[in-house]
Amino acid sequence: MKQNLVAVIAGLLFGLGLSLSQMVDRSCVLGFLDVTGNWDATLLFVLGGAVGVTVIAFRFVLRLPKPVYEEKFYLPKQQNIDVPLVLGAAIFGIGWGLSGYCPGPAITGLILGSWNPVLFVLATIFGSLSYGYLSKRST
Amino acid sequence: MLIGGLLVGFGTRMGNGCTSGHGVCGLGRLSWRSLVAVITFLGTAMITVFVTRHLLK
Repeated sequence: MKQNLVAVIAGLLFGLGLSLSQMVDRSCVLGFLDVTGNWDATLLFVLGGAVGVTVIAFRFVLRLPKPVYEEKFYLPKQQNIDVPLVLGAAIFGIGWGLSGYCPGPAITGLILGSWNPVLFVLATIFGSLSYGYLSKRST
Repeated sequence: MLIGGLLVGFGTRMGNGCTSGHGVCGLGRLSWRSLVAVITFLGTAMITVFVTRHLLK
């Protein structure tokens, strides 16, 4: 129960942060990506601020023997830089640059009254499923 | 919008993370994989915006 409460609070904070920082506004994101045009550096501080918090907080959190409301930490184990990582990130970037949305802000923007986030999130789910399907078939 | 979403969904699954996963959590853990991913997707996103905003107009 407490675990769910913490999840709700974390989700609320994440959505609030994305809204306050204007990450939910795709024109703001595209303005940040438009380095050769009228570049809007605002989001650099958003990303920088968020990373600053995690760099400091994770130092303390990961020193605990286990999380407060969970049996153990679930951390990514892969260390090597492989083709799927780079190719996946490259494809992600093209989609991000085309739409101005990445998953978090798009989900946050679902209730803002525009169809764009709704279409985007549906397409994201389909894209993720199709990769799952393709990778399962190739192994 | 639909094509963008498709590519983001596909790329997130393939590269094991998005802006929050690699950008915020991964960099916070000082992961090399995440640093490579962040530089890659920032690069391709900026190139995409350059092409769509400046080359195609």
